[in-house]
Amino acid sequence: MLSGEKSLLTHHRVVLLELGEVQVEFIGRFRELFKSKNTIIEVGSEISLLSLLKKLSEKAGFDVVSHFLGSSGEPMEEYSLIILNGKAVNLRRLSEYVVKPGDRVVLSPSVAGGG
Amino acid sequence: MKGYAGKYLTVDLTRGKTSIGRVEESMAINYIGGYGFGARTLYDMLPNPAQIDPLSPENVLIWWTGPLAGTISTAGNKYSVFAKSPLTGIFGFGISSGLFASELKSAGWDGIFFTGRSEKPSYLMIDDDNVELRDASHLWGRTTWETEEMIKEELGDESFTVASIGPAGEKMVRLANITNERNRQVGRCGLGAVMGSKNLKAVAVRGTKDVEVFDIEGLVRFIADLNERCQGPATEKYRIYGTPANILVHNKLGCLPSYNFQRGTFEYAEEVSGEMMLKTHVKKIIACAGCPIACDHVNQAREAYEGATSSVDYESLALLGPNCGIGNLDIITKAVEICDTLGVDTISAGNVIGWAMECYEKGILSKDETDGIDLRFGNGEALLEALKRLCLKEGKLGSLLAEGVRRASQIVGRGSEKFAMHCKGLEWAAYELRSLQTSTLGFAVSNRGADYLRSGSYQVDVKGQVDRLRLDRSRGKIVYDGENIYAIIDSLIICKFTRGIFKSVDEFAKLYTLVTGLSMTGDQIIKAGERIHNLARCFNVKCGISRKDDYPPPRAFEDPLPDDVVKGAVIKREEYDEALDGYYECRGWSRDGIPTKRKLLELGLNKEAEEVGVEA
Repeated sequence: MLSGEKSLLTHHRVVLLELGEVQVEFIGRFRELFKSKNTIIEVGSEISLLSLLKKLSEKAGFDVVSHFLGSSGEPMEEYSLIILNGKAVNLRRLSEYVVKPGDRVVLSPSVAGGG
Repeated sequence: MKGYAGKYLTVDLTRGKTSIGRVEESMAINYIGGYGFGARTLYDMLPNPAQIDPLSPENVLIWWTGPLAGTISTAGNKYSVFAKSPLTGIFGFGISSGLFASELKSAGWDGIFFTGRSEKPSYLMIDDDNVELRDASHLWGRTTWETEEMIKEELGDESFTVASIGPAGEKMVRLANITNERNRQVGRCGLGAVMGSKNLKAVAVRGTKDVEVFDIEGLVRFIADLNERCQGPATEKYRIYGTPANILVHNKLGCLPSYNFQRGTFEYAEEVSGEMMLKTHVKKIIACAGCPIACDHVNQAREAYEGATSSVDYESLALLGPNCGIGNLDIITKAVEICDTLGVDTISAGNVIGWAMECYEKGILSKDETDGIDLRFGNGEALLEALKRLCLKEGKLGSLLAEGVRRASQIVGRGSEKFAMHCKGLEWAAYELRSLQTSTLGFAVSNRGADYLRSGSYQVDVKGQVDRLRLDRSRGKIVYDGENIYAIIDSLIICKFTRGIFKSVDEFAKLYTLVTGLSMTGDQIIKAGERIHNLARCFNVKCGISRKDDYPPPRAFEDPLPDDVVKGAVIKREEYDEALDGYYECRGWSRDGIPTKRKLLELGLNKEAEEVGVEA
């Protein structure tokens, strides 16, 4: 492994990250939307979670933020979920979360259950 | 009043006699239907429940629909069954979907009570007002699927809907369920064993009457709106992947139970995910009557298990898969098919077998005690063989597992009680205890035992609205609010998958009034929810339940999670005590978890205040 690189074991393969990069994983419909299980985003030294979503939007060519916040900025918790380093993010405070290189971000549908 | 049929059927199985009872308006307003009617009638019919052996003729078996069954209401065709549970020894309750509820209501019945015990195997046929107890000797020993087909053929009409037990119910396996339309179950609390104890194999029903509603035009408009909301984001997850979508989400959050709750992640989660299932195993997706969502994903197994078919939801998948170390969808599909056809609850079965696997790997259960089965985690053939033995009570292993995890661990002892994952005798469902701590409080205080369906309190944990790795006093209010709303949902009875489309409790009240014509406000219906919950608790208090029973199993406090994302997570006992105090305070119960006279009188539960209530 080259100096400055970091490995993440995801789904039986090793992803090599350069300095300043974050891997974003996709679950459920996000896999369909991004046509991939994950992607890598350049974040520099750090970035807000909201800004990360906007960068993802640019890369994907569609509005990713709208999957988490409604037209009036209301959180769409029944619909979608973001997991940052194993913790569910409160969608009301997207701009307050800081993402740093090496962090683990997952975009997912919300939890379903209880018929 | 509209919506209700206005009457119920009582079947005295000992004497072979039937009679008719009336549903009064006061009953409808105070207890709504379903869960509420069940709590009211079980409390009244078993005045001394502690004295009742659940598998004796003295137990009762009560079936209720709700006011919405048989109407055009969105996802409202459900029925509920009640008895003193042979698994938990307390308030036993289960709900199922499909067509059964609407057929029963269309036949002119809100509910059915079974008392006593039939001398020989029998089944009840309801054809509108024509009611007949028929011989079921030729059906005894048949699977649920065979029973359904044979009864329809015998009655000469495919439109009969059949709810039946399999061999597990006949043998009074304490995990036995009741199955209708092949894939829908009254799953929990062992109510199929109560049917078996009464020699009651099945209920077949056909209804041809109209179910009248109060304001048809208003109802059509409101339901059209609700159905449109059902196509929106809140229910998308159910439509595409069904509840198995949870596997990967829970895995990422460290709350997917694996290896009998020793871990909160599973290394083969991708292989058993909803995403994988949809791609490789889902044969068709089906809906219950009147449901615009269609969540039911029916799997077809491949390779060595080709031909096996079953409806696999998240709970079945997680408990029979990761919780037993199984990362193979073919084996899981076959395992669910065994449970559905022989008639046991997949959640409880996966839980108790996970416990037995941990016992085996730790040397607590020997190979002799497992009848020679190499019961290691991840051994799919061993899982399937253990399941069959459980369902048929075969051999040492089958007889042990058929008792459920609480009794089985008490029989085996040797420290295995510490990792018997249950509360009040009901096996814990697939929500990890230490990494979803509000959820754990909700499970543990539930009236049924470890119950994921009574408060939805996991939602604040998984949405990041609270710190899910610790507890505080405020969590009591979250559970309290959730329980009251879920009591309404289970009384109306509506599918919980639609809960996200209702804007407020006022809309539950509006739906109720449109259907029944009975005046109801949001505040009144919430109060009814609180009344229903308290009434079921009063039944449990009579069975000996108090604070000591409202705790999760020892593993939650003693074994920190090893998984990376939630490493070291464990419940602190002092935090749990504080949260439990907060819950009792909201409920208006004593510190020992007993409803106070004051609270019960406030809810109009005067008899219960006298019989059960304590001074504040």
